[in-house]
Amino acid sequence: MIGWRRVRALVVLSAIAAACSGEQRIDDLFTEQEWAYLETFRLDQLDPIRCTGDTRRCDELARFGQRLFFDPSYAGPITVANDGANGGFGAIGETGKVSCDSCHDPAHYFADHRLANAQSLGTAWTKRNVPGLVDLAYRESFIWSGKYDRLEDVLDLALTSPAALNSTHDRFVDVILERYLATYNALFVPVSPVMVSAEIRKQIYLNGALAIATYESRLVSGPAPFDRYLAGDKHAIERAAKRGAQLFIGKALCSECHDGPLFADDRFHVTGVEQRGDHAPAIDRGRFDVTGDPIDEGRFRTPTLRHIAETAPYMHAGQHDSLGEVIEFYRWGGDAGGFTGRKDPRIVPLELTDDQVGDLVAFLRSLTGAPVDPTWTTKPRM
Amino acid sequence: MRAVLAAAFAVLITRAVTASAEDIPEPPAAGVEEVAPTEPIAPVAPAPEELARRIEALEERADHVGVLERRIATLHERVQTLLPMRRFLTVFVDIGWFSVGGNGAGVRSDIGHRYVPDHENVPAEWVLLGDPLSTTINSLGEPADLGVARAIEDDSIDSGGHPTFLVNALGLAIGKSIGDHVAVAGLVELLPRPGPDRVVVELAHVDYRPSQEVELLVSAGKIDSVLGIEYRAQDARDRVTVTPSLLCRYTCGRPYGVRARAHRGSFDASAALTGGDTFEERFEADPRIASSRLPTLSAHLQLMLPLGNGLELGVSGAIGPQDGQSATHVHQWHYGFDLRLHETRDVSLQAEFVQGRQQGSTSGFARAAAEMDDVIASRCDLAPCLTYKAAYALASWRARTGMLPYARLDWRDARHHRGIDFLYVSRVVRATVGINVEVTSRVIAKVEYTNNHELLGPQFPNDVLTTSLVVSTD
Repeated sequence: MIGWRRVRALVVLSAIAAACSGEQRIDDLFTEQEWAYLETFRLDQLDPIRCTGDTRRCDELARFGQRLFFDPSYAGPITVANDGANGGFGAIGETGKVSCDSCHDPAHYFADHRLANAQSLGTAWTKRNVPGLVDLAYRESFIWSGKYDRLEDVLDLALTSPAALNSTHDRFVDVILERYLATYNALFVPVSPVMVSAEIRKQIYLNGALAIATYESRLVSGPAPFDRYLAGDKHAIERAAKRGAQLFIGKALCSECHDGPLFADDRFHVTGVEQRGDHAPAIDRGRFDVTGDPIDEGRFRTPTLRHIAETAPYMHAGQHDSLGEVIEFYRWGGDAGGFTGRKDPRIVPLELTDDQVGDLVAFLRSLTGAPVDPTWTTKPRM
Repeated sequence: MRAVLAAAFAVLITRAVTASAEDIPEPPAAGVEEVAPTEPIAPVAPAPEELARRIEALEERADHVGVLERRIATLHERVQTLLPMRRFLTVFVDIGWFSVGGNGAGVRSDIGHRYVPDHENVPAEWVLLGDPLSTTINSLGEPADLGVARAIEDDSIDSGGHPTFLVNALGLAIGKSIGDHVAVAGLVELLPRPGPDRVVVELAHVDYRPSQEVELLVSAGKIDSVLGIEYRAQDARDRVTVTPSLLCRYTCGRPYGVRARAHRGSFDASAALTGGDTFEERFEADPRIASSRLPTLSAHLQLMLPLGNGLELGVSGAIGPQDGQSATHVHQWHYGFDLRLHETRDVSLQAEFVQGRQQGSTSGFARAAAEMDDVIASRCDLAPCLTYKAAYALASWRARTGMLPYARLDWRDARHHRGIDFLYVSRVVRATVGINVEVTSRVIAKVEYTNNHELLGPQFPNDVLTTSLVVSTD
């Protein structure tokens, strides 16, 4: 029989054990709540935008879009010449020199990182940094201001912007009629190049835009090391990246905006990044230009962080050219001024150590997914 | 002077004993009366029945003596409270050892906004579940660690979850009468801490007693609260437990102001006009000087019922401008009920319930943003909003001379929100058991274990084992 003294001793020891106990940790790092939250970032929870209809036709449509994507022939005249250092595409006035892939580089996750701390150069300098296109198929709105909520609508901007392709709808339609008529007629209601009404020309434009959007929706990557880690491969990422993940959803506040499988909340924020760069305008009103609502002044859409290590430079005007710079930017609460709008109050100094900055960078590097199927990244024969 | 006070105190106690002795029933007619013998009488062995009656009578007397002793103790306490017209100088030291589970903190962030969907745009890291003061380890109410509770800047112990020894306080209590009606008193504590050592003036007041006949005491300065009953024995030397209850943060603060306390018959009334509230938990810097033009009015009314050695029932309330902001219309209120059963059959009970609200204040910009469901601002950005309810019950048992095991049950439900900066959502219960051993009249040792249980959010290790050894010179 257990004596009273033993019971008391047992109670005391239990109390000491309870008061000295540590927390149960997953992979010796994450609490159950942290882990549950991290699992909401798994990419396999999302379905990319799918082409509806016959699979074979969808494939043909994507291939048609791929040809249009890589085709420079419908580009308008260049207004900023290649100076030997800016990565330009020709002399002033030359046409047919710039294509979508000129800025959306397939070798770099369809982002433009020809120059550090710079905007993009198409037929001229754009006012913003061109974002990557990989995994665009999962998103709900497009471009920095979120002006478009359908991928096929984005072509209008790229086509007609004086700094991108500097072209027109008519030129685009003419190229389809001249160079892709057979392909077009195989995919859509056939048209005759002889009698093309304005209404039919509009339909041809829309179908061409649909083809490019269908192609872009094929630009999806495979699981990133972080996805494999979440799926159970404990060695998929290094320890520093794991610590970075913990900071990402905790102290560093990153997941306040970079939330969900795409690490983006599809909302708009003023992060307080100063307008700078030789070709950036002094004022960029961002989302305000779309809504006209004063509260949207200076706001930009949260970019995805997937493949972020491959899509430098960063921020809406390419203000930072390395991940370390970006983390430092947030570490000290953003820039003090030089931006438009009211800075998000959550952008505050984060009291991160140098090691923690390194951990966050390691984590961001673990978000680079397997490259897109080469079928879609290779320039097709025209 | 000290002798005079001692004599006055003795007279008071003697009166109380005499008055109480009148209530003692007459002893049994036969066998127990004491008659002085005029000449030696040969001892006669009493009959067993006679012996039993004598023993019974002695036991009755012993019971009455016990009752009287406890009444004296109660009276002593009242004298201590109402008649501080004496000089004293007491030095005490409170040292302890504690161990707290996990990282020593009583809160965790609501990572991923999992438990508080209505987080009002406060970042998940700053939405805190649990109670930052659930891991207090000493009578001052200092938590072992504040963890991620970034809104509270004063992490005075910052243990990081490591068991450690600590000098909780080195204290000096002083008091001196000035004439027959006035006295001064103070309590200063030196707190050796991992950061800079601190010196805290806990009490500093002048007491005025207009008349010896009327039990009225007026105090001015840095005074005790009048809310509830826990404040009366909150310092390490007086507290039965090692740590305060979860609601002490609302009632145990010591503001600047004027307080009056009167006693008549079964009633005891206190009222105070102070420059701030009686909060001790601070999520922002404690405004020692009132931040508003209006004072805070608080009051307590207590009725003593003749149950056991006395059952006190009290009600208290306070209203005034919200601390830490200047607008007079932004107010806060508090009310509470308390109960205390003086030691009866070796058991003492004490319980309180409080409820209150700080109105808070929201800027027009934040209000507009909230209406638009925009993330750029959050309510209560000009002054924090707070609603709270809390209760506890404490029972102690005098097991044997100097040994006082006790048990306490705490509950707190509160929501504290300041703009984007923080949102605390606390729903916790905790159970505490401990023992208070009075080694000598100057040495008290206490050991206490607290089990914390979160009613909202994840369970995490934050149980507390803490000890306290208080040695004083008086």
